[in-house]
Amino acid sequence: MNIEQIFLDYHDYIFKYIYSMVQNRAEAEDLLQDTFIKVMKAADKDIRNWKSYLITIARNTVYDHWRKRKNKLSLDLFDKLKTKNKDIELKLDIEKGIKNLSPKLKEVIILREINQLDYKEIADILGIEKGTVKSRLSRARDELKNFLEGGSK
Amino acid sequence: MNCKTIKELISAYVDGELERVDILRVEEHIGKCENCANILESYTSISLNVRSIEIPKPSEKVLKRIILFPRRKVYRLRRLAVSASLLIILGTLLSPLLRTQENIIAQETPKEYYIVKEEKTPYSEVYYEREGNFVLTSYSGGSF
Repeated sequence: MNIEQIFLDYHDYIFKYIYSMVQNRAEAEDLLQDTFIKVMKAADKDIRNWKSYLITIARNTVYDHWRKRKNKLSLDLFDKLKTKNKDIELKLDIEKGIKNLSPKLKEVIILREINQLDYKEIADILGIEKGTVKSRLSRARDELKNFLEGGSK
Repeated sequence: MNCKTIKELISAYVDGELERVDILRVEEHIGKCENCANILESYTSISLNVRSIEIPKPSEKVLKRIILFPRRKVYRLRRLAVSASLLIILGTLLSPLLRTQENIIAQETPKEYYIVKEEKTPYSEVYYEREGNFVLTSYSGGSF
């Protein structure tokens, strides 16, 4: 399969994932480019499930990005930026709720609801058991429910 | 079956990931327990709400940049405009000296391509490299 076609077929799908994770457009666009740069570097690989493969690469890219940024900024500043974003950017409660989730819970919700993957696919991407996907999703929804009902963290 | 056990099943019920026997359990319990019925209702509505979050599309500019340069050998050129103008100036000044090198580059071009990437967010590590008369910054990719 040629890489241009893959890009055309999947960039929207991958962007949805990345954007939902970082919730910032400029950052998400940068990370989309990085994701496809990585994919191009590995273009000869025999890939069976492009959707899962691309999400896996995108996920690594997002985590790399978070790690590098965390290393660069002092923790104080990082927290301040996070708080600032929280105040200004978000309009909808549900988005706020998702932003407040821990990365582990956030990503299962995004993979399930935004990318509409089933438990088996999510488990494969995250390298965890299906049962863990189930319990994380349950916890994520519970936290979202509490958040929306006003008992925010 | 108590509420705590059911509560863990409700989320998978919403996702259609339960075995038939568990589906029946959940439905039977929901019929009797208002609290769990409320949980089901709010999980369902959360699910619908998350799905309807509006997600912007990546800008045309970014898409074009990725589509136009989908190549094997990957480099990125940082601060595109500045570097480009520097190169032009350098090129003009040094062109008599660089003639041989330019020829070589011209021969290699069909085989090697470059991803030119402008960075909007300053997070990645960048290594500078010199290749012919291009100053390239190589991609410091992460793990996968």
